[in-house]
Amino acid sequence: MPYLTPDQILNRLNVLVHKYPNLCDLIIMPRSVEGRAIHAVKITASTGGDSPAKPRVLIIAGVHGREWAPPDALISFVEELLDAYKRSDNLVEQPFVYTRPGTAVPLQYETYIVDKAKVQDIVEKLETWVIPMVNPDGRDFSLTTEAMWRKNRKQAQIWQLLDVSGQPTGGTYTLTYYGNPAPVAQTTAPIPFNADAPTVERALELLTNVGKGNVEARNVGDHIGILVHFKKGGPLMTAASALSGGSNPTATVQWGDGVDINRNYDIAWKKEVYYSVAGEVGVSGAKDPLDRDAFDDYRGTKIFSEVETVNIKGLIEKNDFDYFLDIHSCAGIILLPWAIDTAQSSVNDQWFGNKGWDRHLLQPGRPGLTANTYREWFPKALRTAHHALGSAMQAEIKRAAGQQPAAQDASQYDVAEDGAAAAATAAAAAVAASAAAAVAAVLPPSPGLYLATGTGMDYAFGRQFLPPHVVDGDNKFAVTLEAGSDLDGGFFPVESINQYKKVERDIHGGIVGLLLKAIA
Amino acid sequence: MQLVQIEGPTDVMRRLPGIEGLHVSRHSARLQTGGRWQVSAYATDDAVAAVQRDGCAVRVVMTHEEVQSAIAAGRGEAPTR
Repeated sequence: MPYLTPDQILNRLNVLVHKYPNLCDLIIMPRSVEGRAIHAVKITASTGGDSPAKPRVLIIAGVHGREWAPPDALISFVEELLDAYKRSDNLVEQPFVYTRPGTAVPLQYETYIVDKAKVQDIVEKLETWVIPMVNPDGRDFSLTTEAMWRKNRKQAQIWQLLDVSGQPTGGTYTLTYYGNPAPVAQTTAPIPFNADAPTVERALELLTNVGKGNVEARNVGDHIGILVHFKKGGPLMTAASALSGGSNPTATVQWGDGVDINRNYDIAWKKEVYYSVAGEVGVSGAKDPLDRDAFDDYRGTKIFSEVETVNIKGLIEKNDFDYFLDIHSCAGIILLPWAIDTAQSSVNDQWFGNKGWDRHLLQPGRPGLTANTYREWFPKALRTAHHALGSAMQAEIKRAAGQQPAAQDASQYDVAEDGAAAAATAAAAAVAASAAAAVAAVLPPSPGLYLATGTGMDYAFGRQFLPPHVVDGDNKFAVTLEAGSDLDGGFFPVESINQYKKVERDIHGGIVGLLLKAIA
Repeated sequence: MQLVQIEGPTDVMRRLPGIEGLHVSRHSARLQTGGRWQVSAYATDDAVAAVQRDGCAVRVVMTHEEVQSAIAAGRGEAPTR
């Protein structure tokens, strides 16, 4: 079975709502820029009477187009959960064997059972909202055209960057234009390796699905490339290239637009104000759609410029969720706030809303990972509770893997604060290896490798720090589950060798761990 | 596009996201002994060459052909999935 298309995901949600009308409500949200529907489903059983307010959980997946496994896994979990509840039976997943590349023994994933009492608790004591596909346009583009596509398709193909790299000294390349909206691919005649923008423009104008005056090409510097703009949009791609000389000469096209949904939320979004000049370096959330790294993480033109983030914001504001889980792939880790900085629990004026730390004439801005003079406020009790939640998810993922040590090792997810994820995992490993583990449980934070602005997790978590909440004891939790790993097929786990099944099992375990903790 | 693990010093690794043809899995970063870092990334041949020129070690986890096969399978274009 291939991965689910956006239409198939919608169909599966609609089937659920029709099959379990007393347990599911369908929430229809504004459509994507390419007109695709985006739906949420609320799952809960009415227990009648004046039952107390139920904890509310929001679980999302499919934020990034190329992360193929999480939407399918979230759908299958909901289906299994409701099926088990309806049958008043356990949720049971069948055993399977997975031969992980580089692992000596086949991994035996045993039968995974969530007993019926827990199934009943999850459905009756919680209000669980799921959005399996936040970014249908990005998923569709990844599934059909450019597998590595991560962002949404906002403003996509307005400008496309043609780059001939590797310093060729001869040869040609061709370009294929796919048209818009109906894709009818046509390929140019060979274009010389050293063609300038007007030459590229003329070659494209000769295509009958383009035509004269409908394309503009512009030189943007020897080391950057040629910008190409089609009046009616539509993707351009390189086709064959026969370049010679230089070092591995290649012709490539990048789409320098589209917005990373997970950099568009209102949390430290304007990093050139939030951080110092030095601190800003290495912080994910590209400012310019034509930056090299913007291929993956362009933040958008303004906060909440994207319909996908507005959808999530609207649900969060209206429903005040107690738990927020964002499922991604493929780093094999459970991430806790903050992504914007390394956390600390002792100084409460160092927090994202304190504009006194912003960059201005007399203030350099927050140093990010370049110094310890600023760390993000994470109240101790809330921080401890988050780690307990992460540990519960970790434990359930391990339980879902079964008893075989090798399978448990393959499903070992570290729990770490995002802004110091790497450092924390290294510290955890050091603690585990230490004979003095009991006294070394708290290590001083050390800088991680990257920070990120505008993430959904930080936004959902950060709301409780803003007036009128200001961490008022009604704690809100936010977690990111990075499922799978490079050893499990990366973004594209293969089903026939049970790679997908392994990642799916991990995701199901993580969800169950969070839901059971939310009940407790 | 191949799936690789890259290991190198902090300053070089922080610059990785700006390298053309390299898609770094930010959360895969792990601190290694000796203060070096390891991250996973999808990379073109050019990108691999660039990070190697910067002094990083690169280990291939999935070759270009294996990645393409996995993508084809996930799209239903191959009989393997």
